[in-house]
Amino acid sequence: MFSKAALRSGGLKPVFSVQLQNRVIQCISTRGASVSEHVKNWNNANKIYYGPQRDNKNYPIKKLPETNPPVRHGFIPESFFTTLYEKTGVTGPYVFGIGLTTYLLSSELWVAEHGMIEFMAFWLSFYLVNKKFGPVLANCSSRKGGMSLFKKPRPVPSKQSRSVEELIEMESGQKLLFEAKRENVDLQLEFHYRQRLADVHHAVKRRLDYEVDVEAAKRRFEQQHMVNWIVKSVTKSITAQQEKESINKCIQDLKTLAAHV
Amino acid sequence: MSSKRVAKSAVDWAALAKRVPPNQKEAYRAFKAKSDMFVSRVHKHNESLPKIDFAYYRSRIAAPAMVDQFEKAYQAVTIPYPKDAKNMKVQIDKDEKTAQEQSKAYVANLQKMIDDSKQLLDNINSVPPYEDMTHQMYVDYFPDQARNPVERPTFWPHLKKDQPENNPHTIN
Repeated sequence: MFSKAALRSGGLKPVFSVQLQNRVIQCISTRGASVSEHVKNWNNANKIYYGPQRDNKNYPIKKLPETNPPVRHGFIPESFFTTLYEKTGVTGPYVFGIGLTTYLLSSELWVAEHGMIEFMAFWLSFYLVNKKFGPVLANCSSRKGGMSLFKKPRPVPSKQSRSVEELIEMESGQKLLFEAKRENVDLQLEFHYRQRLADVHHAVKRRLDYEVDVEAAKRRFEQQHMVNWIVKSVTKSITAQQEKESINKCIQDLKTLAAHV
Repeated sequence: MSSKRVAKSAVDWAALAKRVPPNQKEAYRAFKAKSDMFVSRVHKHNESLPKIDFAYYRSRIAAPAMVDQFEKAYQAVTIPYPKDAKNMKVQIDKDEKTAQEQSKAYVANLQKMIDDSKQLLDNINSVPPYEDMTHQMYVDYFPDQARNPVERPTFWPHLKKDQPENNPHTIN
């Protein structure tokens, strides 16, 4: 029913990998049945194996022993020596062993032919190798933190796993998103309203500025016209006699200036 | 005129940013940029109708009666607040409702996951450790996963991938 070989064959596979981290529970595999169904099955099974009707005395739950039972001389179970100790003392088992070998050899039940030397050499070397490398190999094996007999559940990388609660929290951002969308519509309406205000202001101001500019242009034109008119009238009023007199006066002035020099 | 006038964002953008899933960060950034653009565009113009210095014009223009007329009209002008012509808000409300329904279903699903996990965690210790489980116990604890040749016979070598229903090359 129970053997390391059977376990190693992969008959049992890791079913659950539960990781408790920041109250994050990652359930890797609940193949087939739902959790509640699993729990129901477990409760039923627990009733069978650990319930009050279980006869633990006659049928105890078998467990895989952590270490092998103790042995003497590398391979003979300790229990063999302890059972014989009460009847035969310390030397009893050894005498039994030697006696049995002698009996087997003398009555040729165990025939000492060519293979005998090979047999002895093999077991002698096996014993020596076991004595030398046995403890090292034992330390490598599963229970002492070395190579594991069982495939350990793969841990979930903590960075990749996002807690479900975090996801729920993220979902609440949707309310804010729609709030923002509505606000965007309001902002655009506000912009267009302000644009209209600006347009009205601009149009009125432009018309008034136009009136001001027209007035200014008119005034400038009038001024120009007046200046032209005055200048023209003055030049027209100057007679030939007056012109001659003024030129003579100029020449005289130049002469006096020349005399001074 | 609309009862509500906005000039700046009242949304808690930091809270929203915190809740954006990493795969939607780009979309969020674009959305935020657009919203910021709307806000900055609003501030391009004055909030109310800008004042015009009519006294200045009255002094400069020969016909002050016209300026008076302008002033009266300018003060009396009512500018209609733009309407949501495409009914965008109604559309957004509708979208929100559907999104809320979806998210409610999603959250319920997640909540179920949490509950399941809690239940699992509460009960997982009642299952004997992996090392101490025999094949017989496995059948009792996981009847749906253990091999059951009576109710669910399988073909050799009895692996899932070797069963005809899981083999794509099976000819029916």
